[in-house]
Amino acid sequence: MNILDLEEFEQEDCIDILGEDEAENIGREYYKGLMAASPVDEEPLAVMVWKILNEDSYEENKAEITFFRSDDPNAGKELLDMYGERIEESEVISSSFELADLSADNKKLLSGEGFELKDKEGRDLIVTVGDFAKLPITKKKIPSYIKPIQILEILQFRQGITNCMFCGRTGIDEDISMLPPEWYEQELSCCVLTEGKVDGLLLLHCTAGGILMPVLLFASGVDANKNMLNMLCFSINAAIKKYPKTTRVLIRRHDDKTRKLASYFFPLKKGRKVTYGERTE
Amino acid sequence: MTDQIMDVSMETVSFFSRYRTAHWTEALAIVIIAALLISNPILRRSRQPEDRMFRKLCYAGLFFSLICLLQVFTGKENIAAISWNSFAGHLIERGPDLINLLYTFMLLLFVDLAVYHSTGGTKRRYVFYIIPFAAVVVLWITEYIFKRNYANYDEELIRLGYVYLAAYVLTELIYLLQAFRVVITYQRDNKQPLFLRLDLIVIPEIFAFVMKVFFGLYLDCISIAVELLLLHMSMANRYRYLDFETGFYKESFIDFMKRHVQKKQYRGGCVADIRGKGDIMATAALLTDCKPERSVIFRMDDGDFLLLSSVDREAALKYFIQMIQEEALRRDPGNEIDVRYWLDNRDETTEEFVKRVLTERKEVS
Repeated sequence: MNILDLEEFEQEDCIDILGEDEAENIGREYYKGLMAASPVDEEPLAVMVWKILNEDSYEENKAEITFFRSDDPNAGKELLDMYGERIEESEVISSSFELADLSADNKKLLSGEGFELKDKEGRDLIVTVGDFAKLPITKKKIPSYIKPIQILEILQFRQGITNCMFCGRTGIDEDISMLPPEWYEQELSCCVLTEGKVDGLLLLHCTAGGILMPVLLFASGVDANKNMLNMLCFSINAAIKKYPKTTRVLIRRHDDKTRKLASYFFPLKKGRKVTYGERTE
Repeated sequence: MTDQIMDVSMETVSFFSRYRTAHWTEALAIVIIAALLISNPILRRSRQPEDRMFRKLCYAGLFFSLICLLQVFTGKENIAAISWNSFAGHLIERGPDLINLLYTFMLLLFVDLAVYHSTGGTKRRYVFYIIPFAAVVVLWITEYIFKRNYANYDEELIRLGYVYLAAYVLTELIYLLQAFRVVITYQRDNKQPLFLRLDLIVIPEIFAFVMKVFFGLYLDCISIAVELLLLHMSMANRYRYLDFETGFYKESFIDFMKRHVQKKQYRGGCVADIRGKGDIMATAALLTDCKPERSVIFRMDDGDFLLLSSVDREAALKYFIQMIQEEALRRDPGNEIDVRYWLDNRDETTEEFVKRVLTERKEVS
C-alpha cells in the first residue's frame, strides 16, 4: 500500500478525490491530508484530511478529522496508522471528527481503531439566502461606517486581522493570518471602519462548491455587540442582492455565542445527523 | 389630599429654586477651574482629543458658574421682582439645569475619548445620545408655555414638573451610567491600567444632588469644579509617563505596568522590541497607525520602541511584525524595521519575564 501526502497532488486531482469544497483546504496551514493508494494502479483506496487545533496557543494540541473515506479496510487501517504517527509528531493529545454519511464499514473501521462513536445533531447548520431574506433584521438601517472589505487597502485589512488576533480571536480558521484577503467573499465580508482603522470584521468564505460560510465575526470596544449586528445586517443584505435565494449558507456553530445567534435567527432549524467520534492519542 | 399634594409640590418646585444658594461656592468654583486651566500648560496646549474635550469641560464649568453667579449682580430685590411665569423667571429656575445636563453629556464624551482616543468613534457612538437632552429641552419649553397659561401650583403644571424632573434625572443617569459602562468594558477587555477614575466624581455628584433635593441648597457649580479637579488629578498621573512627542509611554512606565500586572495577577503575554533604521518619528508614526488592540507601546531611552501585549499567540505577533516591516519599507525603503520578541512561557512570574526581556535586550544592544 502506498501512503501519499495530498499536499503533493495537483488541485484538480484533489478535487477528484475529495470534492471541491474539501480540496481547497489542501495546502493550508494546519490542514494535512493522506491517501492510501493501490500499489497496482494508484487508485485511491482510502483518504483522510485533518486539521491541527491549538498549535499556536498554550492549550493542548488536538486534531479534527474533516474528511474520511475508506473503500478497503486494510487500506483504511494503514492510513489511520500513518495518521497516528503524524499526529504524534505534532504532539496531539486527542482526535475527533464529525462526519455525515459515514458508511457502516467506515464506522466499524474507526471504531476498531479506538474511536468512540455516537450519532448526534451536527454543529453545521445549512440555511439559504432565502431564509435570511425573511428575517426582520434585513430592514435595519446600516450605518455608513460599515464597509465591504473590497474597499480596504491591504494595510487596513491586515490591521483588522491583527486587532482580531490580539484580542485572542481567530474565528473558525486558526490560519487566519495566512489567508489573503482574496480568500474571503469581497462584497459580503465587511468591516467597521473608524478613522481609517478597522475595529471589527465579518469575513465570509465562498467555497468552491458555492456555499457561503461565515468564518469570523469580531468587533471590539463598548459598542462591539451593536457593530456585530450591523455587520451581520450588511452581509445579509449584500447576499440577498448578489446571490439567488437558493444559495446555501453554512453556519458552523463552533462555540456558545454562535450557537445562540443561530438559534435566535433560526430557532426551528436543526443540523444534519452526523457521526461523532473521538479518541485519546 | 389636595393640600398634601400642594405641600409636596411646593417643595418640588423649590428643588430647582435659585433663591437658596451659597453664592460664594460659585465664586470658589470659578477660582478652582480657572486655576486648573492657568496652572497647567499641558492641559492648555495639548492637542490630544481627550485633553481638548477636558478643556471644553472646564470652559462649560466656568460658564455655568458665571451664569449662576450673575444673580449676585442682579440683586435679590430684582430677582424677587421677576415674575415666576416670565421667561426670565423660568430661565432662572430651570436654565442652569440644562447647562448642567449638557455638561454631563460632555463628560460622557470626555470619558469615551480618554478611553478610546478616537474622535470619529466617539462621534459615531454618541450622535443619538443628544436625543434625551433634546427631549428635556422640549419639556423645558413646554413647561414655560404651561406657566404662561396655567396658574401657579395648578395640577397640570405640577404634573409636568414631575415629568420634567423624571426626564432630567433619567437623562443624567443615562449619561453617567454609559460613562461607567465605557470604563468597565475597557477594564474588562484590556489588561492595561486606566488612569481615569470615574468613581471619584460620583461623590460630588451625589452630594450635590442630595443637597438640592433634601435641603434645597444649590451646589452644582462647586460640585462640577471638584469633579474637574479630581478628574484632572487622576489623569495627571498619566502625563508623568507620557512621551508627548510620540504619544507613547516612556520607559519609566514599565515599572508601573509590571506592578499593575503583578497586582492583577495577569499571566501570559509578549514583548516585542522594535527598532527602525530610519527616522525615529517615522517609525513612531508607523506604530501609531498599526498599533494593535490590547497592547501598549513604550518609547525606550535608547530609541527603540517596546510593544507589550497580553496576547500569547506567536502567530499574532509574527503577523503584526510582518505587517509593520512591509509597511515601513513601502513608506520609506530606507526604514528597515528590526524586531525581536519574547513570549511569556507561563512558568515564570511577571518579574522574571520582564527581567529576562530587559537583560536580553541589553545583551544584544
